[in-house]
Amino acid sequence: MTESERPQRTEGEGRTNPSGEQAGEDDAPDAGTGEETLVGERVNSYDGRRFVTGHGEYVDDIETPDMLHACFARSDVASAEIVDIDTSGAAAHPGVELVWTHADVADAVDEPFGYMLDDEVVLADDRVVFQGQAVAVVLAGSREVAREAADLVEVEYNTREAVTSLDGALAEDAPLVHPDLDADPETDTDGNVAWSGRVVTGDHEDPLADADVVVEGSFETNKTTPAPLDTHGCVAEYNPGSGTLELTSSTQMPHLLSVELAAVIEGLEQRDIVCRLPDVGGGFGIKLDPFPFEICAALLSMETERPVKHVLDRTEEFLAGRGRAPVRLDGKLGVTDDGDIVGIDVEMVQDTGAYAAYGVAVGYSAANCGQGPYRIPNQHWDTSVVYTNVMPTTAVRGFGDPQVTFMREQLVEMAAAELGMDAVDLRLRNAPRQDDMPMRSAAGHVWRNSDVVTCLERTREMVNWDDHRGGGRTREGKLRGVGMGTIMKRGGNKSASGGDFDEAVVKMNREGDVTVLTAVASIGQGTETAITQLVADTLGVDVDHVDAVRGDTDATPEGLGVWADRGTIIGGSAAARAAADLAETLTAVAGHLLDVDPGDVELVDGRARDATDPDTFVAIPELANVAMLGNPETLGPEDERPERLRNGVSLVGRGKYQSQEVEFVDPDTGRGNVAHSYTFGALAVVVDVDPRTGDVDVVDVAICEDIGNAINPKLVEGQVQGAIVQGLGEALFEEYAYDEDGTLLNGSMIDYHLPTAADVPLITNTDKLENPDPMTSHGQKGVGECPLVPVSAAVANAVADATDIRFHSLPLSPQHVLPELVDAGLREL
Amino acid sequence: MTDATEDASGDVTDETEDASEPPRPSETVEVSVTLNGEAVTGTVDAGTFLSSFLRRERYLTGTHRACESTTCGACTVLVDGDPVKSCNVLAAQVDGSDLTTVEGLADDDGSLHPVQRAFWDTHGLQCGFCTPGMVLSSVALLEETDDPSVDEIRTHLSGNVCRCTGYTKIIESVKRAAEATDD
Repeated sequence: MTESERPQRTEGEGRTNPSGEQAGEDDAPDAGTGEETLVGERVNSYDGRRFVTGHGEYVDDIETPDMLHACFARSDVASAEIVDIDTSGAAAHPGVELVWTHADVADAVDEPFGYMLDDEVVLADDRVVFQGQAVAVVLAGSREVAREAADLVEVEYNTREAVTSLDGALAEDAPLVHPDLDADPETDTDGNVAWSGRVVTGDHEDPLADADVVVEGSFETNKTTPAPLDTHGCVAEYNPGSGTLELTSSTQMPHLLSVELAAVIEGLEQRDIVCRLPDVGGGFGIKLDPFPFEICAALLSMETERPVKHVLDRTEEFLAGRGRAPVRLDGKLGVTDDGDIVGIDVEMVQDTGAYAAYGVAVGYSAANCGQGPYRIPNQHWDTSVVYTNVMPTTAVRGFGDPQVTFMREQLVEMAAAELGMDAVDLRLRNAPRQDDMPMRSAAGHVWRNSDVVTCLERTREMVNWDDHRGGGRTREGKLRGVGMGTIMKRGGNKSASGGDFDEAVVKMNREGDVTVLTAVASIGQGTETAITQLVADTLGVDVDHVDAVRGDTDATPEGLGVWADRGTIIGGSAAARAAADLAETLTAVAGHLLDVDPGDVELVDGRARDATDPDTFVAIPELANVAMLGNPETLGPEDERPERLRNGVSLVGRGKYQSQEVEFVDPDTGRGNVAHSYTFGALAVVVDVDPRTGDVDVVDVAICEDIGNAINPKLVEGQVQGAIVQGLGEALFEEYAYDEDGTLLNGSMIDYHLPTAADVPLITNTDKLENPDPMTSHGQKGVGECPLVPVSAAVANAVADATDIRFHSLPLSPQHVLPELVDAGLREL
Repeated sequence: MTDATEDASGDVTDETEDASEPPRPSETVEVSVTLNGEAVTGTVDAGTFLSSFLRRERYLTGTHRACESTTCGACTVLVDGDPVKSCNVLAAQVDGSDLTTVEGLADDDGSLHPVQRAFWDTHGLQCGFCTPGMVLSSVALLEETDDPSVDEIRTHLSGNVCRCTGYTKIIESVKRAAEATDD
């Protein structure tokens, strides 16, 4: 961040909003003047002032006079052998620097590569495996010229039959998406199955043996994109003098990106790659993978010794930006006559598209967490991840849980109906009790401290469940119903290479201003705001005096990035520890200056003061100045100082948070504690189904989650509301539509319906419990991904309540709903 | 943009001198606008979109582009007070107009426009990418209507996509700005 971009601290416009300015509701802050803790306050977003004034700096805003622009020629067919690529027209286009195909990069990269399975190439070699795959890259002086030239790349294809469905991929004579991987005995790939695994607990060979009632169904979820408004993009700048590559990329994981790029690019080690963050306009999971465009931009900058930028346009984003995997789930749930869930038996097939990316982790995580917030002793999950000739899928908010939950929560409501039992009562009966925690779930999770029972009860109340349940008619003649979904979402987990940790540094200048260096990335989720609050609170300074440097491999210590709701849990705890380390120094100096036992010194309200005599204090700026300058006139002669204050007093604190809780899942049983902590909750929706049009209108949403201590309730609400609406979009509107050749039919914002303000209700019926996680610095748990998880399940359950029709696939858009209404005789004209 | 093409021999020729070609419109245009209160004149390629003019010629990168098909609204600017999606309007089309971008909303002393203030205080933003367009659309709405209803706000903002907030706090921001402007 340059000086000119820093938020100006105009009087009366601090982040903590001055009262008296229509603060309204509970936005009135304590303005840092009281002695209240900053943790739990509704502090304004750290970046908000830059964003409302248009002074964010996203990747496409970076422009230098010597910059070159890369553009890809992408495959317009889904599956083909490449017969010939003619780049002469593109190369001859005025303004073009160079045009590369696979042959030009092959020696510079270690291919195939991939996050968990090595199945990707940077540019298509002899075949293409999905529409939108990069075939050639053009470099030019402007984005427009690069685009024009990319369109002049002529590719001759020998089209092969495309595999575009799970049935097609699993058919006996199916064409193979990756025949070379199938033939390679070193890989797990078998036919089009990239990976398979299982989760087994209890009597897994006959998990329904004890059931009096078994309900079953085959469910299919939709392929979607989270569509961050800010598309993927990067600027690569290689310095031939130092041999270092600087990559400013719109990513969620700068440190891991440097590790992964070093593994792909020959001749560059992790130390040679500096990854930095621009402002990142949304991520939602799909900015985790190392992408071909990042590798190409790096190689092109190394070749030309000039900065190279590539930012995907929206069409490329739809074709190659990756998204959520569609999953087919054949599931059976067994209950006793009393309503005890005794077993679940599921076969899960995940369509990962042309590459696995994070798909394997999504698959095993979804099965491992599939039991949800229930005690289910006997479980059998078979999972496979299958290649098809369509856009690769990867991590997306919820990480497989939304898909599994769509099945499980419908089976739960189907079972309740079979038993003649209320669906919330059935859930309550099977929910774990807070009194029994800490406990291990059947699948191996360590559930430490959560009250899902209260979440269920409150949600029932908030949505007026008992009034709506059973279905009814609105005055407009719409069919109204209510349905529920539940949350048991993991927060934090080991990366594929192991470990779940973040480091942080907190430093103070001589004026008492604080900077926290964190590996955490900001993608809009607000972790940096929470971190500045935790740090300010620990050091007793106003939050306006804490700045955050984020995700810069040169400047910040290591960390794993933002995914799995780990930012505030892991990165926040690390920053809090670093602040505590610095606080120890400050209290030592203050104790020495004030002649007070350092143990009695507290840092509050911009002062270090004697807790037993608050009038004895030193202001933190003065304290910082004295400590930084270290003169004997103020600190006394060195040999008369406490040990800690000799040889220079460092105003740098450091901290690391390393979860000791997370386990790799056992490869044989699929069991294990995959997360640091778990967030439980319940969500219910009321829907109106229009019997004339098939429109499903969500008219009310209620949610109660146990999120641990909320560091910033305002930002928490924003995450909850945003996740729910993202889920509503996927439940009601969104789906990738392909033709039988694997051509995307709706790859634009016009044809792919993202929810707008006119499509969704206000979401204000939100509640939270704050049972703290005992292991994190301030009792925080994961928040941001969780509320999306139950949305599609709750909508489907509500539609079933309204119509008595059980919908097994997504989305519940009119073209899918109306025919079912017709079949059921519910259509009205 | 290039203004020359190659003929069959590979020599670069200037097409405008070829008498056999039909007349072509001029390749550059002069654009004079009032931009955030300042008179600005520039010569741009005729095909330059307003968003490119603002971002590249005037370095006003607060005007974002996310779909380049007038769907998402991230590029919204005010043209004579009306919200316009600048990704599909040519710079030439706004010649003579009064333009306001997000950078032009705050006072010279840095104090925020009430709509900016309300978006920040109410957390009507997360990643910030849609924010300039949302703020400008809201400014335009409040110019027309002092006290818009929730449904009026929802309808008015339905051409601006936000992927982060779920819209609730955006709508609350507009309500709050309306109240603040009222006083």
